Amino acid sequence: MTIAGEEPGLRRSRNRMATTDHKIIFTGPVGAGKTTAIASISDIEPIRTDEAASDMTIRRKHNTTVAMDYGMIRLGPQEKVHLYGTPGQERFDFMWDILTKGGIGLVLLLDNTRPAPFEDLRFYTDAFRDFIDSTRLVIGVTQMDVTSIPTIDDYVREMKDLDLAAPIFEVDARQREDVSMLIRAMLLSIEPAL
Amino acid sequence: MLMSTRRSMSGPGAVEPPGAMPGVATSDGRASGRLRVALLSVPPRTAAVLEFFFSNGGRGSFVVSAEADAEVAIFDLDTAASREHWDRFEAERARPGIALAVQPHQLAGTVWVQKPVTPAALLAAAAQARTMQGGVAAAIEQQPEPAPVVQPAEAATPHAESVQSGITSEPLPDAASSSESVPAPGLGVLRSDHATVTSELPVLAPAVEALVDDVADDAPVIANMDSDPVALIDAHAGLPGSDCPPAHGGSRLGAWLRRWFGGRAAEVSEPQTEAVTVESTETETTASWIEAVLPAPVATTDVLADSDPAEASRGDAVEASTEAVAAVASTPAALPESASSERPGAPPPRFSDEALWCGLHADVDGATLQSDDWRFEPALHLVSVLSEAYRVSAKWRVPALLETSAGQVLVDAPANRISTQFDEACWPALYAETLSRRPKSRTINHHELAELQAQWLAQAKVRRLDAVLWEAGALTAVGRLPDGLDLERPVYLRHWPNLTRLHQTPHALRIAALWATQGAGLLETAERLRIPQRHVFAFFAAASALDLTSEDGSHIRRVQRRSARHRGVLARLLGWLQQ
Repeated sequence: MTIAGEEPGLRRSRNRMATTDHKIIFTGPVGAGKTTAIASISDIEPIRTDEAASDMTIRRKHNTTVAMDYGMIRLGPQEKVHLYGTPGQERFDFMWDILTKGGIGLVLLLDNTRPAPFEDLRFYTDAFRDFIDSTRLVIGVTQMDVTSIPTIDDYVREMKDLDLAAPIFEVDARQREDVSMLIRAMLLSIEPAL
Repeated sequence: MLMSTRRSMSGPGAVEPPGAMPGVATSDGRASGRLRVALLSVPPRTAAVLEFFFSNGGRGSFVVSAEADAEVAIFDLDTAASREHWDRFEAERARPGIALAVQPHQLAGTVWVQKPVTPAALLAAAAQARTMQGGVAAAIEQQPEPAPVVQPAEAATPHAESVQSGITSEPLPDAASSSESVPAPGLGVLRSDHATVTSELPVLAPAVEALVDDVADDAPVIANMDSDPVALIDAHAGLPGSDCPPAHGGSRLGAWLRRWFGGRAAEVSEPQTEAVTVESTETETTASWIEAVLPAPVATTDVLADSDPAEASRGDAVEASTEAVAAVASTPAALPESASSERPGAPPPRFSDEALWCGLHADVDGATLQSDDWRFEPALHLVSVLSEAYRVSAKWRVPALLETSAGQVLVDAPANRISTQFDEACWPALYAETLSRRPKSRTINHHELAELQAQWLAQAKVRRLDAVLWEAGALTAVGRLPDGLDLERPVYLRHWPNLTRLHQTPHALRIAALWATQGAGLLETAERLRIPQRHVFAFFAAASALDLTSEDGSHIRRVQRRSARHRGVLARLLGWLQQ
């Protein structure tokens, strides 16, 4: 776009500054590994908003995300993919709509050691239903090395009941390859012939 | 099926290569893109084994050639005549060689393949030798020459072609003439006057087993095949090189065949201390002969540069090298161009064990894929029994017990576990085994489970069930297709496989994404994703074993069919993630 009367040099400078931004949202219950997953794949040192847990969260971990986690993938000088991790506690759900706007897709991380992981699955897919319907969802189940049941097959059955069709993998949020595969599955779900 | 009879050399180009083994005919590999190899005074048994492989699992990769035409020579370093023949060949032709030897050797211009020879080792060595051959040619011509690449169109080697290729079968010197039918070219070399197979067999593998077994002097006579579709051969010995329990129904030779057609070399790391050379005396037993061709690694002389050959004792086991197989997969000479990378412009990704999981076949047309060579019957293999047990166990939420030739197996789908009485190393042999009688699986109750716990479950070898099923599917198929599969019908995934914890078959993510969101026929999948057919077939076989494939795509939601709006950024992000 050219602005009438604009200096050519200014225009070039403005073009150089223009960036394209995209974002991927990580969500899931407290302790599922959202912060760790972002850290394992981010190009930058992730920005965390952890605070000492003062509620029920303290049973699972000492610190928890209170606003959001942020990481970034630089695809080029003018193109970034922002990685946002939602706070796990439900009382922060007002932020979820804000965070998801314009997102490429949703990464839902579930903690297999939690008492009712299917409840978590139901809750989060319901909370993000509109976003999921308009984009793509991938699910990573963490801590399966600690608690192997429910299995991935069990999750699949549960997802069918919820009319969900999404890649679901066992992941270790600390492993870049696992997190990378989740996101790659999301991207290829959008366009397999990429 | 035992169909063809012993054939003499025929057709153009069927010239006995000078110095080649009697019975080793020639065929021009130029048109097919196969590696032209000359066998240099290789002992008869070794030649028989090699030709058997070249006519079957390796027919897409090798063709025996006259010395003058050969790109690579294969010789037996442990045999004086063969070694001398190599010296002459090298002096005259200056082409690379594949040296078969028990002990490591650092012979210039050669790739060492440890005996006992395996298909994987041979394929890997061939890829390396081919690369070396390219280098030699370049040096001679004083101009750069790219490493030869098997073009998909050229490398197509349908069975019909191999039948007409002029490869002939001659009996071993010690074998009397006979007129029995053989199932494929090259098998006749393994025939002897013991062979009394008079009826057609329903599948290739058992017939091959029977013929292979005839090489041994004490091989049992196979008779009454009408009553039993599978030749039962010496069921009293365990699998060589492993601590597998005694197997039934020809599983030893099934294991041998499995390894010829692509056993999992990585799992065979036990020292082959009993291994014997393939030129051993006529009195060697069937077992020792089979051991002679059991898996072994391949290594280049470069790799062995720091090792002292003298320290390597006869039969020393070098751990079977998956890297060697990976080398096959990643070497241009071994991969058709169609083995595209995950994204345009990216370097070809490395897939471990590609040769074992997918085979090395080049793409062919749909009509060729209908031939028996490209097909197999899953119901005749353990994979179908395991899949059935998995489905039953998952449906009723209880473990299912089944008997295999190596021992009992407990399939526990609710826990995603499979427990066995036998060692993990036995699996490849079991996958390869052609079932003479289909084992029945049955669900067990808590009481029975407790009894099993007391008997053997406490000491059982436990693996992930999904991983075993996935592996069973791919390693049984080795890039082949199930009988009756319609290549045009769209395939859908019921759900995604747990790919972070399963062996990565090439392009698994992309195939899974396509089949989970849109569905596509197998050939269409290869075309749309611009990937080799064998990668699609391997994924299909593995996913089918896990009961993930379906012809019903009604579960796919419309939203999933929508194509990308931001294809560019998705492609760039995908590329970034694959770095």
